[in-house]
Amino acid sequence: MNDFQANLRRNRSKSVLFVFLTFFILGILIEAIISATIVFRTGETYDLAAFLTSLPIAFGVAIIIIFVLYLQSSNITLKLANAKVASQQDYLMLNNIITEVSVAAGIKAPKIYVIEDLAPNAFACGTAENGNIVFTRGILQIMNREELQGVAAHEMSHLKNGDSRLMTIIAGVGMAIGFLTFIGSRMMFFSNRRNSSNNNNVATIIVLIVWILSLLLAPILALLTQAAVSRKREWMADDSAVSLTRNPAGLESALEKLQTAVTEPASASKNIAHLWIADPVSGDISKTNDGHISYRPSKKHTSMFDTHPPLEERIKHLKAMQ
Amino acid sequence: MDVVTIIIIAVVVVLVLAVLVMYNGLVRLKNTVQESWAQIETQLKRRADLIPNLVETVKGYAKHESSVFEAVTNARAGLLQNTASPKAAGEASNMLTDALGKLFAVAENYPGLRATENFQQLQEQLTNTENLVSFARQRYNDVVRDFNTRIEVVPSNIIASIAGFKQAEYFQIENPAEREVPEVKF
Repeated sequence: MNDFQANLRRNRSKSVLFVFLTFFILGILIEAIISATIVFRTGETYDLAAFLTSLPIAFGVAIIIIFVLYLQSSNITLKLANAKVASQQDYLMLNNIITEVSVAAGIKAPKIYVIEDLAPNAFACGTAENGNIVFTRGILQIMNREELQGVAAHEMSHLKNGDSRLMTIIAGVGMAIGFLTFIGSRMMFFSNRRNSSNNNNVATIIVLIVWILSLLLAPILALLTQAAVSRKREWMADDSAVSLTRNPAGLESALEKLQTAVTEPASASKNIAHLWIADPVSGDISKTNDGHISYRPSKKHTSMFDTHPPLEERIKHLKAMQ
Repeated sequence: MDVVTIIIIAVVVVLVLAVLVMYNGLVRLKNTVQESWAQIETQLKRRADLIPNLVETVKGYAKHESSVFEAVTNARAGLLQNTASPKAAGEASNMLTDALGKLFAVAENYPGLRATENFQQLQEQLTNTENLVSFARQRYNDVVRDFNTRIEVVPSNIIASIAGFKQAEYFQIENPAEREVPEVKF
């Protein structure tokens, strides 16, 4: 058993842990909303009995959300990104590259999509058996065959290592948490205050505190989890990409091109940020003299919320392999 | 039933399970080896099918380079006759890769040829085919290495020898530099 495979196995057990963690966060959030509903809308007291009845409901809903995401995550992501199938006739070289890398990886060739977005980027979603790789128009314009092969190998590695599905689920849960937080915070304003003022027992106050805390913390925890899983897997995918193409130079020069790219993807969203090969939302946006908004993906500091290791470090790592 | 009997039964059950798991692992690896070999054959066949078209295109512009065409045609014929063992097929495949490299080097001297769209398509086809052959070979050799290692290491070597698993043959690679995809530049 070599290092690489051992690493893969460690990652797999970590994935299970992370899915449980997000599941737990989601469950708590739903529970908080249920309890708030009980207290503020119906005016009833929230006691142990109410807690015990609502908890299974909350976690049941969490399971259903995760299950639906598990089945539908790829389709949802592709729809959200407005991805169009890249046909064999129109994108011969891209189709060839994907077939080549899938032969190297020993997996079924994934479906290929293109999105009309001038920012150079790419992402994968789905599984090794049923994968999808999405390229932006921008990345196809600026990269040569060798670089695209490196990018394809990076994305294919995500599929082969089982990262994509996990990350898509985490993305979906992130969106669900964001949505629930939104609903939860709106309930604060529309709550039936006349009723809630009648309830002055300790349990109600605790519910209120837990409710506010979970509304504040759930999205943050979700983002942190998403970022931590993602960063680790980006390193892994770079390494596996090189083990597929045996050509660190290709991916390295691809990353260098991404580093100098100056546009932010129109479809960039925090929730699918970790899916892309380069972080689409980090960096500084500034206005140039002629009024255009320019965007620099590179930045000087790193934070726990980053979904990607800094490009400079990834490039350095790939250079060391040559 | 006393404690000793229970322990003996438990040990036997664990041993049987371990043997089953190891045997299944070997079978799975052996199937992967066969599957990757099939992939190599597919890719070699694909390449052989592409060559006549390629040679015809170049011939139209560079009639005088007969020695190069001959080398490619011979190498292709050699490959078609030598698909039985991985070692022989590997050597034949390397010869063809060399010959194709020379053909494209020659083609480079004919600007009229380079400019045709047909030729650019063939160039992409050839790069694609060479990459496919090279990646199929790379994966086959990786899988063979895993399989051969499993056959040699304790304790699965015992099961391998009882069940009659034989070491698989590597697909020939002349030198490490050839692991790289041949560079076809224009």
